[in-house]
Amino acid sequence: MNTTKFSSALGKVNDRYLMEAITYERKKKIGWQKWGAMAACFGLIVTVTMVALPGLLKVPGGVVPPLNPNPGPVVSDNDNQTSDEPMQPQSEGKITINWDNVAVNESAGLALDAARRYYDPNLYDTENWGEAEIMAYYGWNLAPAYIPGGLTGGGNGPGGLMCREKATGKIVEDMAGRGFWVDFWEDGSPKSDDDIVIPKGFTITVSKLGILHCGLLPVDEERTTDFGGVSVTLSHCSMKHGPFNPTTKAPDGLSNMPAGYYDIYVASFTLDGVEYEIEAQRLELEEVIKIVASIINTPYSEDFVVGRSQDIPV
Amino acid sequence: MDDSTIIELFFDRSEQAIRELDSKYGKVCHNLSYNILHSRQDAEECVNDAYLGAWNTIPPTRPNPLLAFLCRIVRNLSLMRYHADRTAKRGGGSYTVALEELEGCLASPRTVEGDMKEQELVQLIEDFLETLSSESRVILMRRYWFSDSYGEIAARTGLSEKNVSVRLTRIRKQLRHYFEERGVVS
Repeated sequence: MNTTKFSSALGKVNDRYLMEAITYERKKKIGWQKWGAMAACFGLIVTVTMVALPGLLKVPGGVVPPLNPNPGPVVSDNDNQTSDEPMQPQSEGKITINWDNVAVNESAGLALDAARRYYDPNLYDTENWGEAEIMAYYGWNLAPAYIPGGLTGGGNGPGGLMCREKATGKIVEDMAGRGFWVDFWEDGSPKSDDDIVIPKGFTITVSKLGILHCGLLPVDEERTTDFGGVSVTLSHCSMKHGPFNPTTKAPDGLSNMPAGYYDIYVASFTLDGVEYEIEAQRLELEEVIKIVASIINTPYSEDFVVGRSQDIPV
Repeated sequence: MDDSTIIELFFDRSEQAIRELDSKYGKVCHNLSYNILHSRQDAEECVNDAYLGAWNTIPPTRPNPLLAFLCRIVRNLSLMRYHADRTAKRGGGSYTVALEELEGCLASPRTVEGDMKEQELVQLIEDFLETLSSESRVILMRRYWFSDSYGEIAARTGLSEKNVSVRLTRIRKQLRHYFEERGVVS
């Protein structure tokens, strides 16, 4: 067999194989369960490399008592705090976040394979959830009060997958999620609005039974920060994006030279018995903190300030 | 603008058709050509030639899907130039590396496909593609049809580059086995 002959013959295969290869990413992301699972593998993997948020939130005098009946992501005056200078006084109902001392555990990257759980249809019933079911089960539509500018929760809106054991009716999976992106394809999957193929935005994944993490990289330590009684873990991973230059190697020597790098941040926490995971790509850390704060600051308030040290509020 | 509207512009002999085609699919075409030729200038020329080819073919052809039709033209023109460049001792890009990968898979001391018509080989390849999972099929096509690098495939599929490499190795072994079973290579 001649490679040129093979290549020539391959070039004549049916259009459907071309279109599948061209649109694959989009097809795989039809519906929340599909792209959400991918995003989960994407970000959750990074989760393992969680960044701690020590000293993320600080105010004078240590932990601040909640200023309203719904304690928000209040301040943790932990050992890592480096500045003794007083922060801006908090106003009623506001949280003040200083991320000077945020320690970030860097992830080396994503794991090789994503494990997916398969439910035998003979033993389990599965159903897709829409906004109404999610509202009934989780009490909100997974749209945080703070959404970075330029992002929308369009697409397919919130979605989820519920799975019950046929014999007992017991719910064995209840993951739901929602994506906020700069743009969406017609099928509701995230779409990039610039030359970088990686869309900008974030997803929220929730579960009362536990989020199925897939392909997470091991992490040596996992530091967390107290957000007003809620322990938040944050991780970061720098990822390459194409197009890749085949003639030169990336500085790590592991790949061709990428066109650039983008950030993935993952924040995870458990609130009122629900596990949350916020996965953001191409967003600034500050934006991620704001998203998390707006969710934790029950009832999902935008009443918070994020800044650096003496410059708070920014 | 949707494909059917662009095609109507071609039928109306409006040069706007080329501009719309370039606006919608220019990046895909340039990437495809560049992966083969590893030259921005050559890729640009090939893509422009492909637009001209589309202009000369539509009408009467009414391609559907338009993108696949255009990609075929771009690939064919790019490969023609690639082989001409090879003759002139100019280097290639990802396509060269992809071909080298395949050599190990397809090489045989005794080949029996000599009399096989190309259309039969196309059918055989399509049958093989059907044996693969969707993900594996896309990986194969992106690597050997579009000449994507591992990194580009990884970005598209969400896999790591290492995983893409492993998958491709397995796919090539499967392909080899498939051809051996059918007597295409021995």
